[in-house]
Amino acid sequence: MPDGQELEHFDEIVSEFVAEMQELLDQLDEDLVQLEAEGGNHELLKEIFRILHTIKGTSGFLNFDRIQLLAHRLEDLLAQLKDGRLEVSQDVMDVLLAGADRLKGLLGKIREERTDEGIEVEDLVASVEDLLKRLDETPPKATERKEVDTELLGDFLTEVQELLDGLEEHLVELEARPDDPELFDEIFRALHTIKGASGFLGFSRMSELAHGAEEVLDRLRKGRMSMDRNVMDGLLAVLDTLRRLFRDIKEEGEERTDIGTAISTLEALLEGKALEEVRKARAGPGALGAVETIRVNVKRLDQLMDLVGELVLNRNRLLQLNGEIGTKYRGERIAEELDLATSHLDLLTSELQEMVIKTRMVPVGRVFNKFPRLVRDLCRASGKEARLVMEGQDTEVDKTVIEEIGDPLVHLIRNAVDHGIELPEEREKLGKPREGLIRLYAAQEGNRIVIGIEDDGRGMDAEKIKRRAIERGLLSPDEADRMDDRTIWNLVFLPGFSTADKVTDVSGRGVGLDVVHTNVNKLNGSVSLDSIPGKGTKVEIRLPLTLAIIQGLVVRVGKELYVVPLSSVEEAVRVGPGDIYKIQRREVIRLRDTVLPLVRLDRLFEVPEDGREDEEYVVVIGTKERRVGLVVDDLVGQEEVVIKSLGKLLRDTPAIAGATIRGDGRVCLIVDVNEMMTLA
Amino acid sequence: MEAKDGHRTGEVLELVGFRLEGEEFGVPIRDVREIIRMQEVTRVPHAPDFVEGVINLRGQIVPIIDLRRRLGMSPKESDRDTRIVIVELDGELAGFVVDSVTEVLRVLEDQIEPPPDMVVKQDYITGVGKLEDRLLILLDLCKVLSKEEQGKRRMVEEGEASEGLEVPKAPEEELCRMDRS
Repeated sequence: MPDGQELEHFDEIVSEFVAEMQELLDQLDEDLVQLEAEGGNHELLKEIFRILHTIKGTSGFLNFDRIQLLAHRLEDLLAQLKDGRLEVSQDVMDVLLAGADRLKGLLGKIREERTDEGIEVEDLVASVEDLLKRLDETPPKATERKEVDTELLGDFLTEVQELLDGLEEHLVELEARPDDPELFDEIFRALHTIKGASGFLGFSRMSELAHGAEEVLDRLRKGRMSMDRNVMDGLLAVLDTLRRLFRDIKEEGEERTDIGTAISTLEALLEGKALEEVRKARAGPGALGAVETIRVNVKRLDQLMDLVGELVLNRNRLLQLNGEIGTKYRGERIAEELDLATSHLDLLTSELQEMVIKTRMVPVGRVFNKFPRLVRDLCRASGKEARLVMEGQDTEVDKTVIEEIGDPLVHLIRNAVDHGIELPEEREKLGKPREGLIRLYAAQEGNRIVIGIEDDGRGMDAEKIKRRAIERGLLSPDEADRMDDRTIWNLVFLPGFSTADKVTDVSGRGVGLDVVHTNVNKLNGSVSLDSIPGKGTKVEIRLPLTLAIIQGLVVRVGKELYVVPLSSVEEAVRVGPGDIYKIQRREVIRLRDTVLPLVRLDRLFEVPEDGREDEEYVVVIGTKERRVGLVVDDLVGQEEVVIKSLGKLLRDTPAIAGATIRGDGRVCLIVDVNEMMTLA
Repeated sequence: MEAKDGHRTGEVLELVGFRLEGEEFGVPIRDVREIIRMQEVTRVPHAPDFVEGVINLRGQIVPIIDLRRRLGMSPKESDRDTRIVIVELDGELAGFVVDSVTEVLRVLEDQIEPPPDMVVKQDYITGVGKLEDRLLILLDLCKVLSKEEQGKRRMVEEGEASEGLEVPKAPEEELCRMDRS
């Protein structure tokens, strides 16, 4: 066991390991579910194989023997699937899914205790071996290569070795002399010979690859394609693969190297695509291939964000000064030059700020990819059938948003399967397909992201919800009568609306929905629900793209300024002294047909008196179920503000969410709307 | 600031000296980030009473402590000499308002005596430096902000300072943990 400084280092490595593993296992889950749905798609099997291979390698390096052993066995299983020697049967699926779960368990153990001891894997290893044993008993498929004569093979190896060496040399020369027809012929001939010889001996991969390269050369030779860096890179990459195949044959007597990448490279060259695109296409969204990324400590990104915020402030100050100088020295050359420089700086700063915000963004696919498995498991447990369709996984949001949004989404998906989707028989009777459909989608909408979950289940019953809300004292019968359906459905988000035990017979929904609402609110977001009885339910969550920057309404109270997050502001109205009434010693105003309780910000925040003003403004904050009017002296305007922490000493200050620095450099506090509602 | 230094005679301590209500104080120079002029402070509602508010120090929000108030002295309007001493405590910055900053002093360890007995023992006074012509009170600013000390202060102040303001919760942990073995 390492100790002291080494231990700390070890800890760091393990943390990185856990993070990487988590990504791999999430991906594995998604792939396995897809595998079960689509069967033995070769690309998919290869990907799963690669994931298991990586898990095996990394865990072995850190001596997590159990993970390594299990991953190794599963990899063996995948190798057979991949080569078509074993079918993706239910047995196999069960073992694979159980294996993925066990790997997750082991990872959890490592995360908590830094060891994988205590969770055994022997049973699964035995299951895999059983499956593999069955394979040994079945006769091999008749795709075996014919026995190769050793003498023949020897000749082949000598010849191909020479040809490959020559090829490399000629290709490099070609780069220098792209117009030399003799060179082209030389290369073409070499490839042609390799193709023929390897084909004759049954080395199909080498033959296929040589054939592809030959075609590229043919086109180059005939001038139907032009030689450039891109083509050269591709050809050299193909040559490398040929060499690897050659080594396989020489050392092991058969081809082992995968030629998928090389083949698609050639295809791309023939289609005239850039190699860069090929790589991207192969990596796909969220794939684990050679993604060109690096891990960066989030703290550094935060610091970067701070610095850029600072730069923005200075830019604003400069703009202001530039304006003043512009008026004072109108028409003078120096003023014009200053103006030019300032506006350039202005542009650059905005771009920089945008870039920095982007570096903190991650695709929502990171959260989505664990849901196919969730839906599958939920369906199995409840005897339902449902298909999850996901859209917009590439939509990017701030890292912090990603971290917070997972749990609410799990709640919503669970609800959709448990209470939305009907049992298969019931669906058939209703004339719906047996299999329910759940659509999970994400999209950017201005500077917000919308994440929606839609099912084609039984929908919600407005009458029952109404009754329930009245029963719970959340609503008076009068109020209920005046509400439209949409308002009624959104009642399910009220805290206290549902108790877990009885919710199913009331609305068919509601488990933990208030939790969803609270979590989303915390992120300055909103939830809305729409339902058509018998047709389905749709829940949409709207969130800011980043938590670091929000739209705020700046208000003035006395001599002080505060920022109210715009996401919580419904409207603002001007009121005179005559508009304010008192009900049971509480101030209220009439807003259209509702009575709105008021909170005086100056009293709440003990703002020093600054003379009464005749006219005041009421900022209506809150959500559908609870609204409060915030009384302020004036509305200053709407601004984009960067949220900053108040630090350890002041972070527990009630009703204050943070601070921001305004254009003039002064600090302005941001109101915590949720806390304010509880104080009101 | 670290007590163990206090027992090594002959070592030189570098201190930043400042005045508060006629008395002279000192804090170790290595804790001081910078000294700035008084500037506009944004009041934070319901903050502890000795917190005057927050300022913007090159993009960072820094809490400002009214040191007079914290040490139980009478309030004073800021003037041309008023300064904010910015210190780094446990990784976060905090600013202390002082009447004026005097000079950087070099004091020998053996010139420093342990704090005299007082009615209520104030942990944030770490010693008294005997200079040629005057006394210098050595402060530990971490302790000035600690929760325990705030509790004591409240006891002492009781009856005297009752503005009807409910004292908000104290910070969860001490701003600064120090090993005083």
